[in-house]
Amino acid sequence: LAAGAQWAALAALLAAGSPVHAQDKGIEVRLSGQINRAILHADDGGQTDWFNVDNDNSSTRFRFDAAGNVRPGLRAGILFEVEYQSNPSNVVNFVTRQASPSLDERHMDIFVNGAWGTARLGQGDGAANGAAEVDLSGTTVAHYSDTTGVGGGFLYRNSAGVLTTSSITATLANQDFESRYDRLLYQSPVFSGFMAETSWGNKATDVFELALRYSGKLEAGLGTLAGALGYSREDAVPGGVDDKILGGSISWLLPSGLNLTFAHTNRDLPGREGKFTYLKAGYKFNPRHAASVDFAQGDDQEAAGDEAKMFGVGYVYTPIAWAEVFGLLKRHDLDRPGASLQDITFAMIGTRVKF
Amino acid sequence: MRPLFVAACVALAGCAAEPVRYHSQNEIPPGPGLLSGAEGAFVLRVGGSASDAAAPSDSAAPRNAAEEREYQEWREWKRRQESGAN
Repeated sequence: LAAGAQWAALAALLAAGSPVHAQDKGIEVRLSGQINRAILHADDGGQTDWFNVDNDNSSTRFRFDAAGNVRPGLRAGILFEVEYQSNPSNVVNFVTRQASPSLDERHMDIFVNGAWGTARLGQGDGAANGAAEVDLSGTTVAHYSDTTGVGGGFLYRNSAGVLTTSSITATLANQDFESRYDRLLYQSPVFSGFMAETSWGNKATDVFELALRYSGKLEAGLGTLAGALGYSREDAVPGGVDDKILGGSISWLLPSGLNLTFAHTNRDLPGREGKFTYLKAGYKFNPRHAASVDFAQGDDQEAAGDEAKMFGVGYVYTPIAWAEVFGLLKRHDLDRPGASLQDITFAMIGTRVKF
Repeated sequence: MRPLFVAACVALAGCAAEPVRYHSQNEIPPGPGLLSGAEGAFVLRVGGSASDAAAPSDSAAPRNAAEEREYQEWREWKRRQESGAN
């Protein structure tokens, strides 16, 4: 069928709302979700406290999705996913200890899938979203390249003990492209483990993204490799500069359970280039345990000359298939010319339960 | 740099024994759920075959222990049927 006819078939499926239009096994409607809560301890050199948080590494959320065959070889469906976080771990700090929950959009998406690939229309991942976050360590619920997911809202304190306006998020973001927005996305079929994606949509201005992804089991017992390269461009508002990001990540899991992950991104900023680099080494021992250490560095992100660093240790225990228990220790520091800022340390323990 | 990248892609394509689907662990994990059981989601099949439609309590969480038992017994029976058919 021509593309127009395929879109017409999708429209007919969605408009009909009647099972007589479904073929084969009909339409499958699925409801799933998770709750991810943790206790977080923070120490910024001048103040320490405990926070009861929603772990933003993988927020509390629920999902409703449905898919069915339009005809043999052509599948269509919807994905609706929202998050509901009370005290998100990337928002709370010593000034804002409580953040009320709100229903926040993640995906509101219609898709069509065939031998030619997948087209998606609506709110959802841009083509390059996650390209700086590929990680096979098994510890991402505790820590991964987005080091701002836990403690991102905390502000650095100067040597006099006064809070500055510089947060962890502003100085050490992984610059993972344009996240989710209202877009039209195309994903190619998988060729020898490779898949290409492109999307166009808009936030306040137009957004364009490209990505090339790979995941495959290597021959000769070399384990599993996954990686992605991405590019995004968000058009400038009048008087500004285009927001362009280039980068990617790669993760290698050996059969022994040892794993290595690397990510790097560059972002065009007015008069400078914001850089992010991430390294992680981990070990999965038996299916229930995974541990890792990581290091991140952000350069020139909030201001020229900034050098933000993070060292972390994470552990995830999976006692039963639907639950994980995790722990995290990490320390952030920021070197800024002409300023003396204190380190911020975090300890977190929590659990994610899929329901 | 560009030729190196292309060479790396070709080498990867050549030595990939099998493509695997990457699932970000920051998404809802695959596998069973606390309430949804082995399926990992509350599933409703609309317009399917008779055997699919006959699933008891397949579209909602079991409301009590007896219903949970009945659901698990049905799932076990269905699994046996499917593995027998294979």
